[in-house]
Amino acid sequence: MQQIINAIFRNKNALIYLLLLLFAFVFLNNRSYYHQTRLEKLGLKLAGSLWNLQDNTANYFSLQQQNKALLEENRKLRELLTAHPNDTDSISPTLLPGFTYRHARVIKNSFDQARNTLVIDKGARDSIRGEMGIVGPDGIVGIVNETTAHYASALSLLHADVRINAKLKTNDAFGSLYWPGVEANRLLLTNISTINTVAVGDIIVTGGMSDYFPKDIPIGKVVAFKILPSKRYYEIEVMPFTNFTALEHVYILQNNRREELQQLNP
Amino acid sequence: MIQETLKITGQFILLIVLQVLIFSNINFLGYINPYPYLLFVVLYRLDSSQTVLLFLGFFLGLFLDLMLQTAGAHTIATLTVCFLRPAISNFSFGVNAENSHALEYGTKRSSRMIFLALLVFTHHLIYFSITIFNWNAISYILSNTLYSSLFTLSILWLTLSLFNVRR
Repeated sequence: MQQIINAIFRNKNALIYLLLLLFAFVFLNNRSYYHQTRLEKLGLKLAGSLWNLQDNTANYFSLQQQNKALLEENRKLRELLTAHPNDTDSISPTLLPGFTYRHARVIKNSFDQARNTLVIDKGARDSIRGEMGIVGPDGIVGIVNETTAHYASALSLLHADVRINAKLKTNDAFGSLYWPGVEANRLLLTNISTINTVAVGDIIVTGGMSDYFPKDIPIGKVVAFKILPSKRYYEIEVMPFTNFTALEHVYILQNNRREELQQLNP
Repeated sequence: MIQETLKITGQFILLIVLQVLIFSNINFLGYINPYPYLLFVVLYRLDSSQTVLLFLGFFLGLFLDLMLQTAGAHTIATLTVCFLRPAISNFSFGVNAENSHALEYGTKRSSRMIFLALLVFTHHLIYFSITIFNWNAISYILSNTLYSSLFTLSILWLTLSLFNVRR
């Protein structure tokens, strides 16, 4: 004990220096948005390699399960192919016109906070940029936020600030979808006018009115709905098809016509 | 003791005021500014407590950051220089490192110059690295450091010579 105290006293200047330096960095981080993003990027870079290592090891133990999931996805795609026999476009690399798909693996995923994020193992070197959409085998997952050379962080759909343009598949009524928090399998779809009909079990798909996602990508299905007191809009509870607590393989969507779209809509 | 404290307080305030009002507005050739507030770290007695110097350096930087609208660069640079000062003075003055008058007499002029140059260069390098904070702009950081260091050094050297009557 005595020796520990002696050691602390001997190095007190170094300790005080480190403490004050920490204060200074917190101050830097809080005062300047530029430094904040740069520091975040640095953190992502460091943590990314660590998580990758962890994920690589953990990945081995779920190989069988993943195989099953991939087979299931394959089956669905084949089904789609037989449903549109003449539409050969559906097997070309650009599945939906104007969008390029890139595969990535999720190496870190959170679902228990108010603002959940994921980290994927593809970054700027794989042409991943900010604000690209991410879809999983079952439906949409999130939007890319920040990238480093080898990694990218993304806002999950379970992020309090993310709003997605979505519609009912049956009658194309548009609304805005967001996560109210708490449960990882409940989303809310609002701003759907009461002149449309809604039924439990209806499928919700992306609306295609944003730059991130093409239209008609599945999101989830209606589990409950109510009419708001104003009698003008529904509030619809949606259960997403994607299981956000078990994400592994995802696809990054690059909108090839984004610049063109933004010229019209600055 | 009281006289010493008063002197330090006076230097602290005067140097901040001069830096904010004059030296940060020089913009020589458009962007080169000297940072002679480092005189505070230079003049702080070499045989006094370093712990106190660390706190003084921290607050010196903090006040400058608040007044000059820089995020935290002055604080980090000044604090680090205060921390490294014993090592720098050991390196430049050798056995005279503990001599409180090392900057005035009893040491070689070249040693004093090395002491000042190391202090200023370290400070400026950290300061510009933090403000620019981008690895790709390394050449810009280095050139800025070099020019500003030369500017600061000449001001410090002139000030020290001016007030140094004893040879």
